[in-house]
Amino acid sequence: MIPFGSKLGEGGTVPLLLKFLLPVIAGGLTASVTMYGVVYSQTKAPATNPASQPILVYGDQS
Amino acid sequence: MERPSVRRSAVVLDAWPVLLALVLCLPLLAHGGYPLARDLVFVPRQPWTLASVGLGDGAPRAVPLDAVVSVLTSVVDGGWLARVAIPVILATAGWGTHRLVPGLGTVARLTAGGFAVWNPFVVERLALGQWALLAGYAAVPWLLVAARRYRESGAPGDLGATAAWLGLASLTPTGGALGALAVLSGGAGRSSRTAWLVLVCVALQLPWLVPSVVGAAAATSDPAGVDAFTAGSEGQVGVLTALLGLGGIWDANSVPGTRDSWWSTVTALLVVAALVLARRTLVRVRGRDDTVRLAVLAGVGLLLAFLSSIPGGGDLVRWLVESVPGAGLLRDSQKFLAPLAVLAAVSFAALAHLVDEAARRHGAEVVLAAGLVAVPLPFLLVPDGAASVWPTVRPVTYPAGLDRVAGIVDDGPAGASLATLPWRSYRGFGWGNGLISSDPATRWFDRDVLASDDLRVGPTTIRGESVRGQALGRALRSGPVADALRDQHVTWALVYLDDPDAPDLDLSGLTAAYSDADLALYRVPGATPAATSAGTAARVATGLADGLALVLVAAGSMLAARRRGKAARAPVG
Repeated sequence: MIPFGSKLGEGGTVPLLLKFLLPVIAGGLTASVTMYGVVYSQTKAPATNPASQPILVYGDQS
Repeated sequence: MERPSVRRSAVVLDAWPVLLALVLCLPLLAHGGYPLARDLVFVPRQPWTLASVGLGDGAPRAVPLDAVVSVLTSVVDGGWLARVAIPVILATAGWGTHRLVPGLGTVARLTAGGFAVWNPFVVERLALGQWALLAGYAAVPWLLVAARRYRESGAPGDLGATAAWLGLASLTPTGGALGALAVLSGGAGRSSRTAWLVLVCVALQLPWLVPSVVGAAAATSDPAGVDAFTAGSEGQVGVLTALLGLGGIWDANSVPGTRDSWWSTVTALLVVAALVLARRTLVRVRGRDDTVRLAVLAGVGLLLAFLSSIPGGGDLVRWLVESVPGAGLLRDSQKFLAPLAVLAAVSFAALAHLVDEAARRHGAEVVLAAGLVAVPLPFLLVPDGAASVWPTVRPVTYPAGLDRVAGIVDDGPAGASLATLPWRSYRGFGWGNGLISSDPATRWFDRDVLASDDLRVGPTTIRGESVRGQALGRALRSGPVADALRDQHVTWALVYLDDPDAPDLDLSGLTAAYSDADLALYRVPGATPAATSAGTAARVATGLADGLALVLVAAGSMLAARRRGKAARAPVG
């Protein structure tokens, strides 16, 4: 396990500022994609009008 | 003595799947009551009946699961059983999968464990309520490990561990088939050891194979189910892409919203990329032989899942379902994708390991950034996984009338049957959680319960296997309810009053025995109990099959525990 910050700026090709920003970018990206997915799925209109579907069926083919 | 950092890492590795499992099951844990939605049905106490061991009127589809649940609910409430069993099964999948790649780092193994719990396959199956099938899926990585150990050592303890994990998988017929495939792919090798593995696999399938042969239900199934239950497409692309993305369940209502978008294509591309890019790393940490065996298992699963969707394949499956007893298992083909989900999880882990190694050259901050993408990968690929599962696992409060009806029926004549009306298999309840569900009455009463086993999937009706149920259904469609019930030797009729068709039932000629706002129980005057659906020979054969399986699993568990104890006591180095 590398101690946090131990190789900061040493020998790597990633610039110092980017090293600080990368975790923020990665975390932000992960959170944003997850939130987008959740909001998208909750606000998406159903493919067919539920009122026109027969009720009390085991399922509907996808 | 293990170093504290190693112990800490082991705890984190096992805690991450638990956390994800708890999130998926949150409504079940946060609310009182019993899960009742789709195929997920738990009742407070499930009596032991002939149906529990597959000798009822219906096909032995939940065998020996119903027998196990019946025994367990005799000592613990069914609601609590569900709250323990479902999260533990999900976590078991994660625990087993990260143990398939012990040579990888912590970030990579967290990816494996997390992905095994939270992926399109698990989310879609749990949204449909098929928790017991997921027990088969959860056992796959453990079976691969146990069977490989037995192949290499030939030790009875390893054969015992294989039998014990296969016992878990074999709670349902499909899980048993998946488990047997995993055992044979992971353990086949020297002929004598392979023979023992085959024997164990066959013996643990007997609890459902025997009743399907000697029981009263039809051994073959309606081929109409092949088209109804074949894998489905998701988003704008075809079935194969949906399957490669670990989705493709037949039921549109179980598909997360994001899977119906370009997201499912992205997932498929990522899975394929992971399979290709992780190949060498997997070979390095698992060995070429074990990697090939897992790949073959996943490939066979993918082929079975896709078979009914390819030209000629559908005809072949229809013929098998119609002609070969037990081949009805092949109808809902997507469930055979389980091994591919395991392979995808370890492939993503191997990919995460490669990224982690590359990141280490640039410092801890870059490692952290890589981990922030790799570990939450399951959320990224199915961000609405919890939103899809939560409606299914939200428990309901059963009406008090069910217990009162049970008191009357169970105190009534021995050997009497009860039919639930209006005649249908899946129902919506005013007191339910808004989703349709299997009829809880089939698990509630200590009597033979007849409910329709015809399934409606969209416009298609798939005929059930219960010979007596089919006869009663025909009689109810063609004549007065009282006459139909009497002719089919049904003593009790339980009417769900909130069913939309309930007001149309002609219940004249029946004697009211109980009524409240939700339920009404009627007695059928002049009805005599039906001859038992299972003769002595069938009972003895099934009892022997169940006993053999029970002894095998119990002995296997003891042998495995003894071997584990010896290994723990052995001096290090």
